[in-house]
Amino acid sequence: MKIRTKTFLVILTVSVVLSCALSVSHFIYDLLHQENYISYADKTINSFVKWNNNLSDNILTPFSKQYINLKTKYLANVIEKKFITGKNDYSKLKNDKELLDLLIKSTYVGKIQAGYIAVVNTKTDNIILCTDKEDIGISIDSLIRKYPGLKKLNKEIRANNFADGYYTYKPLNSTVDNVEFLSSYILPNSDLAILYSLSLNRYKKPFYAKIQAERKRKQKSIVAEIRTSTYNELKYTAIFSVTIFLVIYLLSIPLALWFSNSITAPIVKLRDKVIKIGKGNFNVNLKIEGSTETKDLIRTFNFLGEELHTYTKDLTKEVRNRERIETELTIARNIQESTLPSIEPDFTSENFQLGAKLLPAAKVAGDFYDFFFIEDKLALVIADVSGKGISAAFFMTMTKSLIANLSLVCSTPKEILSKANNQLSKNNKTFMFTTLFLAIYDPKTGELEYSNAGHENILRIDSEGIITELGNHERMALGFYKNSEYISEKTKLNKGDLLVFFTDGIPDSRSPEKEFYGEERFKKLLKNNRNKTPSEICNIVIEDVKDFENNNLYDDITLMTFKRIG
Amino acid sequence: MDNYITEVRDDKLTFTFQVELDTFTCMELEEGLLELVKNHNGTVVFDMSKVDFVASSFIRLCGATASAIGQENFSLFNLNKNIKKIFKKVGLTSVIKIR
Repeated sequence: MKIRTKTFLVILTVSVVLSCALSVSHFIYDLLHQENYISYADKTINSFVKWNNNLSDNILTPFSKQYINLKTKYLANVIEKKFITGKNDYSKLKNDKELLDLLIKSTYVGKIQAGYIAVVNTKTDNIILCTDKEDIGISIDSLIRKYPGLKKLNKEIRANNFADGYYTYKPLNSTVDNVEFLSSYILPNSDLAILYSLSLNRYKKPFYAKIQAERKRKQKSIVAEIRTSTYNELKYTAIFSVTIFLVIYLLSIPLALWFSNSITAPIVKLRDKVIKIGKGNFNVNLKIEGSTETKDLIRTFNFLGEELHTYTKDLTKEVRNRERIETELTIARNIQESTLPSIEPDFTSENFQLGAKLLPAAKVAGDFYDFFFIEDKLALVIADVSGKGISAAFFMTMTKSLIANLSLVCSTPKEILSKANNQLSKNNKTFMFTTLFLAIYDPKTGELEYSNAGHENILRIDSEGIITELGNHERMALGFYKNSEYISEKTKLNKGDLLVFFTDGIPDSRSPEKEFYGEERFKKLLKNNRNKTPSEICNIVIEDVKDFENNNLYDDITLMTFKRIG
Repeated sequence: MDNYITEVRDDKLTFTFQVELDTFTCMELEEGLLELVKNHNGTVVFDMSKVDFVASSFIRLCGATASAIGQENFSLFNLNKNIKKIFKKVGLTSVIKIR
């Protein structure tokens, strides 16, 4: 997935999650508080109802007192009329059903019987009429026995001789709230008294029932209203939340696109430039923009681009230089190889055979071999210049020419070396030098005259395989010090004698395990192959050394072989 | 590893070579070594105790050192048998002090 897409999705997801969280939390908050609203409303209503009840009590209590007073007086007036009409006959009153019904009806408040009315003959203490039919005809004492709670009231009434009055009392075992009122009234011109007792609670009950019903209705209505209101609010909240979510979501899309672009655009540009660099176009310089990290990245990239550009330019230049040098070295090597003498056809003879091989470690060699005729004698030269490469090759060419030229004018090897040394050591500030072995063979006599300037001794192997070293002179290599002295020695070669000229590259060759090839191995190989031709011997030795070094040449390897055959 | 360690005691500058002195190593150390030699007033000694092999380039370096400081002020010591043989072969034992 591209970084731009990733950034976009991350920003979008964060926006969506945030808006969802905001909406849901708002919704949950309202939902949780809905019950609180209802509870609070309920408490308020209850409190209001309580206040209302108290208010009702305060209103109803005096009203009820007034009510029974008026009612008692009204009934007393009715009874008085009936009593007068009945010519003061108590028995007529006692049997007046109409009156009894009126009394009973008067005890009702709505459908609840809240009162108790008794018409008492104060003289006989008998109850003549009573709304409780069971009490008709019984005495006040009997009534008190029936309702012991009236004992105290009875005393108070009697103390007042049933005079008009108003009493508040509590029937026995009644609750605190169960207060009853009693109104007493003496009918004029008779012994009759009317007692009207009213239970305040019963009196209030219908009113309270109405109030309670109204309260419940109102409460229900208010709760329903709150529920509707909160439901509506929740609905609005939900709509609001969804709207907010949609708005944030819609806004977050371009915002996320813009933001992800602002992050990724410089990186995308960077990537495009990297691709260009990958194709070899290093000339890039990106505009520094984006976040701090991106700016740092671009700065680093620009720096790297410049460095790479410079490096590539330098490298290209270097490669060109190397190619040029390589070409020149190849030419130099070809020239050097062309200066080495070829055996065929000039150096084939019935008297001797020659073989030679040179393997340079570098492009051009510091070793060389040479053979040439000085009149009818054969000169054999092998040399090893210090160091490697061009400087060694240059010194080698100079030495080779010098030896060849001096051979024409000098009569002995030591004289040739001495004069060559004087030439080479002249102004030799770099102290280049060469070891060199020069031998001059006379095919007529088989005589060999030789001189050694610091070079490896040559090996002589006779037909029996006996090896002797020639040239152990310990004389100065050519080029060091002027006027160094050299010596010449002479020996006579027999038929089948093999001479081996070599450079130290052979015994000093090393295996990958850093073991030296060594003179012993070299001599043994020569001895075992002495009957082969000089060329074959050269090939055998060179191949053996190459194998030993695992084809990793450490130094120039030069080998020249000579065999007297006639 | 450094190619050599130098030590100056009194007027004697000693180079103790730490590695094989093949052609490439000699080319690498030649310039710096000759610079030190030329700036030194006194004798110069090459300690060869840790060297098993020398290329002909090292012989050239010895020649250059002897030339820069004077033959009488230059010496080599602790040479193994093979290296001593090389110096003998090229005839330098007569001009360079080998101990």
